[in-house]
Amino acid sequence: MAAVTLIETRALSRHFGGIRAVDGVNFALPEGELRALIGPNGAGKTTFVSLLCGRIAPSGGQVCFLGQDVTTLPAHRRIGMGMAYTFQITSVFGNLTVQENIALAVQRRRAGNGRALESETRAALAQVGLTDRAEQPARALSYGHQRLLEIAMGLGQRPRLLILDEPTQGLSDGEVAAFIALMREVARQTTILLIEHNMDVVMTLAERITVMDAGRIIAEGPPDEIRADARVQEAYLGKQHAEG
Amino acid sequence: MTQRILALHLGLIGLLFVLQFVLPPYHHDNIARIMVMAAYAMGYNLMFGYTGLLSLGHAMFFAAGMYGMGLSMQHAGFAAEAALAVGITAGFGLALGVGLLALRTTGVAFMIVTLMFAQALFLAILYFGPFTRGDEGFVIPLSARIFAGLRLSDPTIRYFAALALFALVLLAMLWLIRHPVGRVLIAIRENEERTRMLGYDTWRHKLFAVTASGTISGTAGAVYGLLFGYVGASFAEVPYSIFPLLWVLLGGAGTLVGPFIGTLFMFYLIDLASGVTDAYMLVVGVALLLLTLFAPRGIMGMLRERWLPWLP
Repeated sequence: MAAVTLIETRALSRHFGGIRAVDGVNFALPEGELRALIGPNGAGKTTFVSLLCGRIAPSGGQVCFLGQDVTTLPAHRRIGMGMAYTFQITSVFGNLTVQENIALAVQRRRAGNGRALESETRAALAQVGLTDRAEQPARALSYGHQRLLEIAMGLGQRPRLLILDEPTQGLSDGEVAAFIALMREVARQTTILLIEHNMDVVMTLAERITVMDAGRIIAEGPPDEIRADARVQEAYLGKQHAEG
Repeated sequence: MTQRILALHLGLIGLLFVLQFVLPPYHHDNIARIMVMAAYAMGYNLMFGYTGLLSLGHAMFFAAGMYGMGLSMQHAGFAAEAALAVGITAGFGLALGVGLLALRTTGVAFMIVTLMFAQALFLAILYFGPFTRGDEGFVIPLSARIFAGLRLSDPTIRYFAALALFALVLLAMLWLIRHPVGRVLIAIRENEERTRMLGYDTWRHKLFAVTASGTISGTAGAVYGLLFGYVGASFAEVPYSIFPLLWVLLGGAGTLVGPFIGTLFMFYLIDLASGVTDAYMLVVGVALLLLTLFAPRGIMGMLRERWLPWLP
């Protein structure tokens, strides 16, 4: 499967004062893949994906998306090209209804087409199972449902690349299972980059895994390989996983 | 469009239309003023209530419209129609310029920058006194206040002209906030970072909000000068920047009829209180405090929260 590279970075760096949060990362993600990005807290994962989507500017290096150098493009232009980003800390429009939240995500592509706006909004609602709560204000949703709303807002954009930053954080077991099923479905049409701490989710879903530590990529490969990698175990997985 | 929303707003316009025939002259004149000021407040509300941008200098847009209209009459001998166009253009141009500069800042800095621009315009009006008649201002002669053959100094025509402006702005606002662009403005108010990360150019949208808001405010200023025949520097001073903020807060920020309700409420509060006591500003102050304490979202905001969630 010689897939096209969807997004690629070259020597991408971001320093905060003396701290190298992201340190010369070369990364490539082929179209159609579901990739997990893991690493201990403070490894630079969120900073790295923020550089990808343009939330923060890099200190050095390049980001290429769809074969185009997007390093200097502002975030909204990159989103417009087909990236979508869901926040690690839930960031929805609390005072607007669930339906309005998703409609805002859909509307950028469908501003002039009321019917498509409505049907795509309804589709995204149904995909995450929030149809019954469409008219509730987003702030009234439980935490888990707000996480699902975040994901629906990502899906509503029909992105080429969906970046999910710890989507299962704080979800119950049942919700995590539903999330896994949803991702399987979405991954058929969309390339996904998933930052995740829940190893079961990562091992179940990811086709390949990229491991970051201290701002660098220390390993990359299919789940089995990563599980067996000594450096990864040392940096991240800890002894229990190595034994188990 | 939901029928009751349309019914409510058309109903309000219809009510104001009918009132013209029954109001005694004193209140008749008051309501005409209130409708023009409510148009000003709706312009303010677009920026503050719907986009979340707090301006402390909106008097500059009101004054730009008023002086653009008045000075072009006074010095270039423009007829009312052309002078109104100059006034609207002045409001638009100033708002675009101020927007381009002030939107480089956010939050408190944005408030201060708008305040400073407004002060600069006020001081410029005084400085160019020989041209603007400074503090004193100038009267627009009756003979010049004729618009499309209609005598704007006539109370009935003045009332209908004020109503026309009010209705136009109200319906334009209703259309805008249901339009995709208006939805994005509301999204910016709620969570700007999220809006940006949905792929919207939030800076451009904010610039649009400032420009449209300033244009509406400038239009209200120009119409006010035409209808009531006076152009003066007091309209460029700080109180006229604070009034629309108060009217909108009282009536309900981010509601369509809130600015009208707030303007009406405050106008008559001052009117009634000053009939009872010399310390009428104290009464007004206490009333404002109570409203802020018990209805922090304003009158219409409270109605929406408690009983009418569909209110736009």
